[in-house]
Amino acid sequence: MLIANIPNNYYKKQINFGATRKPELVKKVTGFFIDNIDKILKKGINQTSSNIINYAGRALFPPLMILAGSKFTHEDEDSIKYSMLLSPLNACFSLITTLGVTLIGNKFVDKAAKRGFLGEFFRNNAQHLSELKNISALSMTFLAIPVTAKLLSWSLPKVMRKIDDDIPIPQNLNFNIYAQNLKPQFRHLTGENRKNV
Amino acid sequence: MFSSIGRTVQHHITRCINDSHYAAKTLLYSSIALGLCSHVADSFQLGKNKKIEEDKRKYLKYYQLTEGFVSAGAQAAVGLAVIHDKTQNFIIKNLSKTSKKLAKTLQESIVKKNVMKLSSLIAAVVMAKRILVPFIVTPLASLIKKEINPVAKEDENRENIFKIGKYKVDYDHD
Repeated sequence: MLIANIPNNYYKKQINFGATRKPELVKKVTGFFIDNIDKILKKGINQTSSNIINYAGRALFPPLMILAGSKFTHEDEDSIKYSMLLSPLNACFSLITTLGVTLIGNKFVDKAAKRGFLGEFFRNNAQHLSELKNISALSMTFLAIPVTAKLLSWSLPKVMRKIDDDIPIPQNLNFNIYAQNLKPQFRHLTGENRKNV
Repeated sequence: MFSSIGRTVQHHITRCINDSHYAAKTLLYSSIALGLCSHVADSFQLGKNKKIEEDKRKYLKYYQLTEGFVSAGAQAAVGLAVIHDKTQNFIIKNLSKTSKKLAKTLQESIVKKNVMKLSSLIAAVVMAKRILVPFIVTPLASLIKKEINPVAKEDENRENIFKIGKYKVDYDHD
């Protein structure tokens, strides 16, 4: 009696589930990509989008390629680790700084165009304004380069020591070694605590 | 002074809108200049940083410098080759075969311009600069470092006397 209650299409639906769904999924994914590519291609490619492509490439690929290229050298492992970390860190910092700076530049350009400081060439023309924003974005990214370089050189050794504890502190700065090599009678003269030694 | 700058900017903008080759080339040259400047600035800052050990600091400095100059050349070569009309026609032919929607949109002039920009950027910035160049530069930077800074110098030993860490004396600790 229980078998009679089951509808006739039950088994057919179960069997057809996998067969009909897969090509729909593939169609959906390909259609999604094609629609988005159309939108991107119609909208236009600015300086900011080229910057984002640049930073995405910088974050993803160079560490792998450095690993591949490191087999042809006799350089230390630590220096290669440093160079592997360098590119993604730089990409992160430069993305943050350039996006922040270009947003400020674009707002400034919009306000100046509305008030009429830039002349009639930019007053009511969106195409001309967008090209002017490209120039402002380029100049602002040039200004952001020294800030990112300082951030990178400040953060690189700190991040490296968090990943690897074995990397030594350079000998110029490590005054504890000076205290370590003294006789214990004169050790208090250095001013270092004994616990730090 | 300001009027002349304004005229040049207006001329540049009108040319960018009308000429697709010029617009693609400006994006490419700007990315080359940005990359070179950032690499030189990074090498300058890393060369000064004394929280990294001397050998590694020197390696990073020369790595950044060589990557900057080699990538500039590679980007220019690959990007200008992709912007050329023959390669553009080849790309648009192959893209239009994939779907009918894309084939319709690719006939517009604005879309062709954007395809030129995007393809040149992907080929030059991602393929050449970030995949090919680091693979070549890692052995090249160590060679340059060895040629410019040979390892053992007699004059450096005088300075190292004050760095007591190098000459560890074995006293009896308690």
